[in-house]
Amino acid sequence: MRAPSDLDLRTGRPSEEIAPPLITEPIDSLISRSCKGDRDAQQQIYERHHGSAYRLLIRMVGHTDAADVLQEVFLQVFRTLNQFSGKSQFETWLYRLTLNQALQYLRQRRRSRWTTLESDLMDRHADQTSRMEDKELLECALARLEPDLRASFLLREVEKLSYSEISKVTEVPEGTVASRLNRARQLLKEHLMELGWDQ
Amino acid sequence: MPCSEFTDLLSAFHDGELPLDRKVAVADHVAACPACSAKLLTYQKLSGMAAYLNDSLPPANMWSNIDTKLNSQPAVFAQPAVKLQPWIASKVVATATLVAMIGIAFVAYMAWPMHGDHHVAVNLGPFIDIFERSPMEAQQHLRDTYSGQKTHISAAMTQLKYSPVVASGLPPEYAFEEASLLQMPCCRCLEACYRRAAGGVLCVFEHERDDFVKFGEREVSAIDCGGRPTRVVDMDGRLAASWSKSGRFITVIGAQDVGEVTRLMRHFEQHDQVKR
Repeated sequence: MRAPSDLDLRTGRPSEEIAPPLITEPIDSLISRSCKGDRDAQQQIYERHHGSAYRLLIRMVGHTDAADVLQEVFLQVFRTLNQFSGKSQFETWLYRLTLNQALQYLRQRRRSRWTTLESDLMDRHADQTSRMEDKELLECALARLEPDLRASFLLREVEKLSYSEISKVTEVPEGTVASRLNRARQLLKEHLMELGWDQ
Repeated sequence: MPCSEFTDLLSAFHDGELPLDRKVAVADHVAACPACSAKLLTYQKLSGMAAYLNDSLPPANMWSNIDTKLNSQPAVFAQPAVKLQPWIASKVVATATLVAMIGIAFVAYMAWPMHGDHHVAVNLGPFIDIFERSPMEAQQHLRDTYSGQKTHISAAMTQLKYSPVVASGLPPEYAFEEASLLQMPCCRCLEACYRRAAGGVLCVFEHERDDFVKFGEREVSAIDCGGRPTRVVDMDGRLAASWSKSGRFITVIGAQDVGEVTRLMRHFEQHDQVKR
């Protein structure tokens, strides 16, 4: 019989089965080391933050090109990290950089912007003969939105940023963030209905 | 408050971004309005669907690709720490101080309100970005950015103390939508927005000062338009154009072509002649 002191009080499991808590290095320390070219610190920054940047990029530029743009984003992060002033949170700075890179990419392929993104999605779902699931429908409807509206919706609904944070990332006033989100939601509903969404 | 005004607030209400008094007002309205209640339910469903977008990972070899690229680039991270001899350091400090003082004096001179060469360029690039998608949203962006307020042109004339080019209206094919008085970095600016009978929105800016207007990163072409030097920018099939007139600066956003810009220029000239 195990003595009560051998059990973890929170989980009730034996203490030795509980992994020791991970001690994570503060981001400002990682930034400081990265600025000196410390590759280990750069990798840690990448590991911590690539997920959110990639999520945003997939819906901004499409699955086909998201990885290429992500690579450009992090190369730029490490090239310009010494310009990060620390006035905003690192995450906000990274979202801004990611979004700017995505918008620049979209401008370059402007002529075929959403049709490319939507056809990319349609190709991915071409094997599905049955009605698209809600997630795929939303992805297709999102692809029809203008980039500014799409970015606002993703930053709010997926990345869970506040209006104030979205305002800093997109560099527009909070009132504009609110009107963009309102417009994005109205348009999404219309596009979803066109795609056969059954509310 | 009419239902349409609540509709504009539903999205922020859903996000929990309204101040308490408005939140209560919207909640009361939604409880009594089936249409707004249905709209709110749709927003909730959209949020539910968006939760499933949280699922993607980049290719596993992404970091090694970045690592390789970083290795192939020259190291720019570490700045060499240069130690100066004390006498050189004092000279550097003295020179830097002198340069800083000259810089401050120059900025102060240029910013002095009575100085004739006062130049603070206005960048209309972000406005055009939004205008291309939603002209009316762009109006709100302008007012948010430049402490603007909606106004009537006649009321604006009293504040501006001059008669703007749009004071006697545009040709009949343009219907007036709204006007805003803006506090731009250079000066006050009247912006008036019109809807064409044939479709599309056109905005006319008039800056108090004959200053330079920027259009973001767009390529600017200099053309002769009706005998007047004009800067023109392509904006997704439409045009932005600006020209100097009587010591002020006129900018038109959303013109269909150079012909329309020329017609508007002539119209504004006629307005001036009638005024005299």
